[in-house]
Amino acid sequence: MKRQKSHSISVYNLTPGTQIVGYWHQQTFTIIKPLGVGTVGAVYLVKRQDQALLALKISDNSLSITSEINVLKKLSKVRGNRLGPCLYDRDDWRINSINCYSFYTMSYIKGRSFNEAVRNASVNVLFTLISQLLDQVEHLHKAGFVLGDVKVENVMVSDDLKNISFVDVGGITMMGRSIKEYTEFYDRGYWQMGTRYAEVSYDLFSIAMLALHGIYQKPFKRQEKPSAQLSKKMNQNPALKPYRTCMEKALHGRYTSAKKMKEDLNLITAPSRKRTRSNTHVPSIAHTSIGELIILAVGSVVLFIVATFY
Amino acid sequence: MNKGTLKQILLITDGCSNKGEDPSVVSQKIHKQGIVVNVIGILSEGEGSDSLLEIEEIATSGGGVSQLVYPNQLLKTVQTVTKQAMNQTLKGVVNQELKQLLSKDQSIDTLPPDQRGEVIEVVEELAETTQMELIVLVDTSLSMQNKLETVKEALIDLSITMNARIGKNQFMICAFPGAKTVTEKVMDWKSELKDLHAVFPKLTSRGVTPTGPALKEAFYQFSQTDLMRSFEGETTEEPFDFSL
Repeated sequence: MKRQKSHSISVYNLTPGTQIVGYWHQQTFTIIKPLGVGTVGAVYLVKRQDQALLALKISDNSLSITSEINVLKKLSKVRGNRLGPCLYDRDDWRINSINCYSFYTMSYIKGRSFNEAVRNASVNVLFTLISQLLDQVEHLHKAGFVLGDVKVENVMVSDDLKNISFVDVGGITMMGRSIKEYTEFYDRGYWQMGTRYAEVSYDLFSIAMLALHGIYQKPFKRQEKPSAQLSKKMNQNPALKPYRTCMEKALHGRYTSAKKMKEDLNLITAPSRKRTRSNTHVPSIAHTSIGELIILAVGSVVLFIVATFY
Repeated sequence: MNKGTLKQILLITDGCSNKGEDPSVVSQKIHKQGIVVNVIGILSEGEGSDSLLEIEEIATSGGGVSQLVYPNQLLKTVQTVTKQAMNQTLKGVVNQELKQLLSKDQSIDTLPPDQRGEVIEVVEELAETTQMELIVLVDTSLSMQNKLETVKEALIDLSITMNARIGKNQFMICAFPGAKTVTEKVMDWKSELKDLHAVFPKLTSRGVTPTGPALKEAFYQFSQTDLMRSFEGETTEEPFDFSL
């Protein structure tokens, strides 16, 4: 965009070691490494002067940054469940009278992007993570917001695949308004399967698409009949079969709450988890202990003798 | 500006004007009437971004936003540009109010973060609820031929985004150059953009791109009564006059 070009410095490629000094609160933040580039602004891992490691989002669009800060402030007032990252600092970096960039810092969440995390995981693990995300989204919905911009880059998964968190608040929109930010692949408007109103079903559609992205590892382009194309994608992978009904429901906006979708998913993931657990209790030959082998051997010898001399 | 209604012209083109008055001059005059001019320049593969310098000029003098894109990015760009220009206009209006309330060199961006947050909330509220009148002016000269499908898709997509807002919208589509006239109205005021498949007329191959005159004609499509009112208020200033 033209505005970036005319600036002598770009907030999109700040190098490690660069120091950002807040104008209003005089805190210094040292850039350690870039974490990602969003639709508005870039995110860096920084060290604050008190040694705290934080994620810092900076942009030349002060309106969007301020709007995100507003969302983070509102989320922090919602008690109970953790909804998205915590907000720490908000300030401006005034390099000179022309170059002024707004930024804020938030908690740094370690992990891998959703896509990377599930690359070698089973479909079951993938949907267990999705179910966990739905749990958080349910709380967000209850607080009167929708996630909006769901995408693999915005969802972080811990290395042990146990925790999932949402890391970008750019798309979080008050219910009843128009979705602030979205990414085509996850947007039901793009797939001609609904509006861009901020409502529960908007998020559930995106989350179903997030699951599809995780399974196929790549987004795909819309074709002539988008709805049929998505159904086909669902049938293409046999591992998806148990989840098909639930996914179709989400894609067609037939769920009224994230909770209901989560419960449906849990019915599929949970029993099979039990099954795998009970499978491990059935001893396979390779894992049978020597003691058990001796008992088996003695037993069969006894049976042989009995059978022979009976 | 008419209270509560934002007016925008969105020009979609792939080349430079070569006929009639300078589009930047026209654009500036339109902006003086409270209408914002946005421009999207469509690049062909392999074409550098320097080829369409005029585009940035038209948008700057029209108080709007410009962007150069390849056809595959058009879908997202059309709505980003429209929304961005909307926010920019509203931010400008609020800034004006702030200057009157506080001091001449105060603006949203110089406020401390907390107060700025409250003001931005007002801007967002306005962006969500304000009414919008948008004229899309599409260059249909021969070189646009294989881009028009993408333009249609992008316009349908734009209407999905705009109609998710609380505020009402009105859209009109004009194509230029027309068969006999400078522009041709291909869709009159409507609240939705859909079924655009039959909308664009046969492409002309006259090799002219009268961007300036086309902008002027698009401008006259806005409700005349509102414009008359806005000129009366401005009679002491520069009279509204398109004769150059």
